[in-house]
Amino acid sequence: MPFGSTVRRRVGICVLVMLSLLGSAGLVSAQTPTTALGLGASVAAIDARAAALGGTGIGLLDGSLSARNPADMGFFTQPVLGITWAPESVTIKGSGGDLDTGRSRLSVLRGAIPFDQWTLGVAFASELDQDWQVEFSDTLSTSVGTFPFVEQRLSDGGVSSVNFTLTRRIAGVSLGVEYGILTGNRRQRFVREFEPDTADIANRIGSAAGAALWSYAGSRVRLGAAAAVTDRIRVSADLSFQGDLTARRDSAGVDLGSRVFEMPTAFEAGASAQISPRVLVTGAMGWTGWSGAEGMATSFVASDVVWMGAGAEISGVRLLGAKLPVRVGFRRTDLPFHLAGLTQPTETALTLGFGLRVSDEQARIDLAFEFGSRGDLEVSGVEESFQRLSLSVALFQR
Amino acid sequence: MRRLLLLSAAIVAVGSCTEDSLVGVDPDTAPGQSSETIQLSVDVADLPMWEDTTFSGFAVPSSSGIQLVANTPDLTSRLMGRISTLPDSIFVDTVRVAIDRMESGRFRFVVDTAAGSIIPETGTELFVHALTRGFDEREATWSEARAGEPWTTPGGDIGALLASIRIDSLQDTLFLPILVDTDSLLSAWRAADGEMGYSVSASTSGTSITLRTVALTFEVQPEGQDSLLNVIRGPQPSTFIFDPETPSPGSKLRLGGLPAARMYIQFSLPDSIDGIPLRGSRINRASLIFSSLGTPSPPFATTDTLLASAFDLLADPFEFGAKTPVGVNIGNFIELDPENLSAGGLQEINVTGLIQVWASSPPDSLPNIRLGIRGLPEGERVTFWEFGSVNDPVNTPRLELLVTPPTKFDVP
Repeated sequence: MPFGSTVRRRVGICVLVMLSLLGSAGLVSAQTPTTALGLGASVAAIDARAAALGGTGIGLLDGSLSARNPADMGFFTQPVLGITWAPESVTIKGSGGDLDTGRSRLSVLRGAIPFDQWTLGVAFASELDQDWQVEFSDTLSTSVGTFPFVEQRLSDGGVSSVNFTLTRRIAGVSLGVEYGILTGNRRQRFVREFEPDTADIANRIGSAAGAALWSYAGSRVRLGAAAAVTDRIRVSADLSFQGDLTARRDSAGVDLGSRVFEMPTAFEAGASAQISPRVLVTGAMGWTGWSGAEGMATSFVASDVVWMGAGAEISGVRLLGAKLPVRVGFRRTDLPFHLAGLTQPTETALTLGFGLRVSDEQARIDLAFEFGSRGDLEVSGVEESFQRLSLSVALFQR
Repeated sequence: MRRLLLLSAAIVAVGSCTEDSLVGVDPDTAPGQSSETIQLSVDVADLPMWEDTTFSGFAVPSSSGIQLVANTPDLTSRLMGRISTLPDSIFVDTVRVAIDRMESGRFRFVVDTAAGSIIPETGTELFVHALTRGFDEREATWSEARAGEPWTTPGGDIGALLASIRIDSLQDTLFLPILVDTDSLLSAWRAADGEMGYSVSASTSGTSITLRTVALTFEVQPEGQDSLLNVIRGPQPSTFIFDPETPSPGSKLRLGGLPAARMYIQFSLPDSIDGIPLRGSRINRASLIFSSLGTPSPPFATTDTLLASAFDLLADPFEFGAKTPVGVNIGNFIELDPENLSAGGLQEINVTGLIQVWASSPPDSLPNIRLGIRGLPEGERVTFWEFGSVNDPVNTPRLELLVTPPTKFDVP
């Protein structure tokens, strides 16, 4: 009898008992994946070659299908199409031990068609990753029983962009403009499944669950310029202006409405140089003014992001007669969101990889491996180590 | 453009997904949003509206599935019936032939040996007497043959002994041969539609026998034929009267007994309690908690574990008029534990399903919650349990809720 004689008899006014204070909105701390911070993890939409070269992807000789400077598209001489897939394994460190998980994302899908001195292009790119899922056990203690439960919380989705580019090449200079549509959605869900009362298996209570779906909409304009200083040196820079990102709640429930986030202005620049017939070096950096972003929950802080990376590509290696350039690099970037009262986390990674040109160099397969870490549990409250594989397949990339 | 957006969304959905759940996260530091599961305990007198009452008569002795013959210090019960469907002709080889004579009559009692029938160690004797006063099966009580017409002798005005049997042990079926001339008795009953009827009683103190069926069997001789044919007729109507009579429940909430009593309840809930929303919340469990008023006085107390069930009511049971239509059962059978209830313990009635329907309905679409509670099987025992109503300040029912309010799921 669940409500047995041990229940205190209470007479009179309504009595309210609060129990099992679980994590409420915005409560995050150790064991938090970086994708659960703020608007999520900022994704560098770069191809595998750029990933192997320290996450650069701007001003790269031989071109890059990364979604960075649209002006870089102006150097392609024939139609090109490429896709990059980037899964990563992640170990999240916490006070209670390490937790392993994995993520995968399609970083960028990009195509460009040059005609005369013009180039038209389109790109689908990942922008913000909000995927994470946690599961934990706890116990709900009530006057009617003690019910162990397992709770799952899930956030699935993020923000991506659809980008339309137009470039004009004038002599050795390419000028580009890109209009990007920010889109995507985020599904949030929690499920709490209760087990029977520890003292009476017939004493059960129903589960609890909730879900919401948010859709994102926004826009961005990016202006870029790139120049072939010589045949062996290329420089490139772009500036992005973003409008507000509006999140609308699509699902039925309470508090249907929308939230508006002011998105940051960003600048990035890079260069590459063929310093010898077999060695190409590249470097890039960027800044994103996330500190001006507004609309965040008070539990999060958005800070400006500075990123930089550098790498080298060594040619001359061949595999079964095909060219096999080998790459190595290093990168460092700030993460835009962090927990209030804690230090902004940074991400560093050692990168390496190689490419393979096949079918009379009409197709390229590039692989990149990144070994890095994000944050510091002591100072930023989050810490992840990761190993990421980036795989790009490109056609006609010249 | 729309296709491009959809394609992009699809790319994000397919290409950007966490593959593995982080299992074993510390609950205190888990990321994400959910809602607390909260226990609310509400005195029903504090609800916007609460009405409770006991309605009786859903099963009465004349419609009960049992017939009780008892002679105990606490309870005396007699069975009464009329054999009103005696034939004057019978089919013989597809031809209806007048009955010339009826003979070898005997009563057949089928005893419910599994439902608490007891006889004293010394055995007992059952008697069938002719009644000298007719009765109304719907109104007959120990003191009255019908409303306003008392028996000359409480318990029924009995005349000639018609049949008897002595039993030393419980048997499934008892046959009581008619001691008078069968043809004369049955012909008289046939002519008077069974009036005045008969009464069954037990002679020895300590006897309590529950009968499932009563029938009269006899043989008839069709006119012009030598052969005898068996005929069986049941009493129509039949009832039983007992002493002491079931007391009125007054303002108490009663479950069981004869006439069968049900608890009928109607209440409304606020949309929120102390800031905790109920409407729109997930109701993990909702229970009405009734306080038992202890052991009823004999013979209405029981030490058996009985069952009850709650059911939905489809109209206002407190509105005078036609019977309230009954909906579906709510939850599982409710076990009435005599040890707990006799000690004045609490009885939970799980109404989770009802409250969940209310909580998920739009405001004002389901203003009142209505339910009834009945004993099972209904009308087959004189025993009952009583609980405090809203008018009993010491034993007022309570509403216990486990509620998970909606999660806001804000971004970020």
